[in-house]
Amino acid sequence: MSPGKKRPMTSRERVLTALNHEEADRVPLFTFSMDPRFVRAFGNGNPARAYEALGIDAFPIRAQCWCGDMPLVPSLMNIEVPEGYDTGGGVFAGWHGVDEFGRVWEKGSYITGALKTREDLDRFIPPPRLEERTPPAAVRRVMEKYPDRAHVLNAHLGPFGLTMESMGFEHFFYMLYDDRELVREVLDRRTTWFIDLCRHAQELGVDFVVMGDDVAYKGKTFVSPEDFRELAIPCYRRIVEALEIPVIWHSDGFVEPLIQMTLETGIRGMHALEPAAGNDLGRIKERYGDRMVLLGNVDCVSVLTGTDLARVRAEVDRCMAQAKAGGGFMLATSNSLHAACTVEAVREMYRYALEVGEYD
Amino acid sequence: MDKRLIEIRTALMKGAAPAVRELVSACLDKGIPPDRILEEGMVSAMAIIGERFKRDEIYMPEVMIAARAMNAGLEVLEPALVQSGAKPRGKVLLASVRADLHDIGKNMVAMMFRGAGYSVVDLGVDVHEDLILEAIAEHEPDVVGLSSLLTTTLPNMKKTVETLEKADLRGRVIIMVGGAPVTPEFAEGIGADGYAPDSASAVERAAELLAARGQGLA
Repeated sequence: MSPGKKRPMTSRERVLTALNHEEADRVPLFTFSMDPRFVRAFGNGNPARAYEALGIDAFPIRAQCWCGDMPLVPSLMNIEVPEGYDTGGGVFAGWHGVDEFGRVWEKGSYITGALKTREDLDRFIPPPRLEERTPPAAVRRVMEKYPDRAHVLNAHLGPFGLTMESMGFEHFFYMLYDDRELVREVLDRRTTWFIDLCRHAQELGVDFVVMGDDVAYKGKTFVSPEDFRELAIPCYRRIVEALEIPVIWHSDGFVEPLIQMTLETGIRGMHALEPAAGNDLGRIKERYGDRMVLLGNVDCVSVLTGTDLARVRAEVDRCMAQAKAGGGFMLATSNSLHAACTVEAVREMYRYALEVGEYD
Repeated sequence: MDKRLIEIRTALMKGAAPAVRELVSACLDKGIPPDRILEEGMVSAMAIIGERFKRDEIYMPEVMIAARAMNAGLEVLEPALVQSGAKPRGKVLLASVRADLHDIGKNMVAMMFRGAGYSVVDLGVDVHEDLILEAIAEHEPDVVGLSSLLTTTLPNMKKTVETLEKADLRGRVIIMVGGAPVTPEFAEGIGADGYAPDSASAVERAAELLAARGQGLA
């Protein structure tokens, strides 16, 4: 170790240091989810090996969901990985029909929602099934096998996004005016459900939670910041107060107008920070970087979908320049490792981040 | 402006669908020409909604309820419009490209075009480029709007534009593209005539492109 350099940390130490707004030995690497093609490319079909090969510091713990009898990522269920382990729950391949939350799918794509009235509530607020969603024995095996990694519950099941999706966007928007109480009821029950899920994972020993809750799109939030404050913020506050581990909020889209009020709930960090949606990492770091841990921002719309590796390196350099200083930053793509990213670009992003991510 | 038309505009902007329906009906009973009811009462309201949306004064729910009120009024007004021989500003054909099953962005665009007085043919989601060709032949639109939410379906948007070019439709229809992963650079790269970042801007851009071709009202 050269003079002045920090001693090498384990992945877990590195992530926990960043979550504590301090500089680790290097910038931790993260992804919210990983398409199976990268599991095959980097891990020969084994998700854990793929995460290791790319140097990703936080290993995801499952929050299984079902559409009918079909679980998430069925294509990965038959390969030799620690039982109960998957890529984080971002892959809906094969889902067709109405899932347990009331979301309607066609050929793996979300279409609309089936929860329209109070009568649908009991049907589409599913039982916790915690032992099946996050099987304790499987999680413990993963943790024992990879004790130096941070372990994160990556659950794209946050209350607001799931309420919109389960009601269908158009119906949800109408209900904000026609029956706001119904919206509140769905939000309240989804929040309770999500807390149960996270508490179970916390008891199993996960280090932090990433709550996937999409509330925005390119350039704009779905609802006004005033509506968000009234409807979503109390849910986030309940979740944070119910847990002892940090909660990171993931959302697609332009989230900058919501950061300040989200901070007030105790949410520890924000993930994705899509630049193509209008989020300016430098501006966010300057305004909130001392209080909000930032994860993501490497453009996966145009940069990582190409094969121009110099452009990939320049994008990593930009993110590091804007957010690395002072800690509290984990490098990740601006969404996930989705199917349209190229293997070359993803490999180069993580390789180069290891090269330039060290702190002095 | 007629007081009753102002009432329609106000009710529509609040998203009060039953009130808009009643007011439109009352205006027709009073003999107000249907094209005036449409332009001064309803299209002007949706134009304000579009502007307020672009300025971040309102959000998708407010646009949706205004558009729902517009549609309620149109249900009453359309028979009278047809009878009076009033023509729409232009015809727009919309589709989410092949393999893209998302439609909320496209639906917002459809609402904004209807709200601006255009006739809209919505082909739905996951529309093969060959079907779009057939629909152009059948409906003869002025504008074709292609939507994509997924990065993975962007190549299909490109393929659709290429298909329209091969069919020698360049110059006959204006091709516009939009959606979350679509950028101005991508739109230009695939040869689209226009790009808009949001539904309100899409209507403005279409009007500009139509005016540049000497069609429609800018």
